[in-house]
Amino acid sequence: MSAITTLPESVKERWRTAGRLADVLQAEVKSRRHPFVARVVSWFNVCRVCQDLEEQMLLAATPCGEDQQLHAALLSSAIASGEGLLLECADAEALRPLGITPEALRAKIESLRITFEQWHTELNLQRQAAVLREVFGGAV
Amino acid sequence: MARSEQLEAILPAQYELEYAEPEDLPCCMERLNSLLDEAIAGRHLTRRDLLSVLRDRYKEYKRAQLLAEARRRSV
Repeated sequence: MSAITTLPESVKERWRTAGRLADVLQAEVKSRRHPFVARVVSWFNVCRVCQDLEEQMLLAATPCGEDQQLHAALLSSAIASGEGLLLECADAEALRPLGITPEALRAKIESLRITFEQWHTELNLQRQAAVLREVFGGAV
Repeated sequence: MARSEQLEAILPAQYELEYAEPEDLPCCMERLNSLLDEAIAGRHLTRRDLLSVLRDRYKEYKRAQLLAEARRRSV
């Protein structure tokens, strides 16, 4: 976290708050002392922190690079811990108290992966234009 | 479905998936996949390829939704 010392104060504060909250929640997700369903609830809350940061970035006039970096780190971490929970979830009954199935975890992980792809991977602009033309014609 | 309608359906379907309650996630995923499959049918593209090239359109869409929601809350 020493890199944050060179950032504007408002960004530092956002970084600290989101990062700290995500760290606390991720510790809950990983702690096998807690009931499985409680860890799953914490994981959904980690996902919400990622989403909140993304909303701030979308609404900011000029999102800064450090926010992007934090967003990528939080997303990667949420995807990894979600995959871990899914591995532990061989028994579909384990999620019954939450009224969900492992498919819900799988869908959320896929949603996070889509978000990562859309925010943090490179895109060839010519290829983008060609695919959009091919699929949607003049609609785009 | 017309091409423009396909596009207009994919963006809200992704948004619904992103903001779905946990119990609704499988259903939202299925709906998005079905729309994507329809759009890429017969083409050498994956669902992820299509969503990737829609990134700018989706961000615009999501931003508009967030602003509309903020306006609704402030009324």
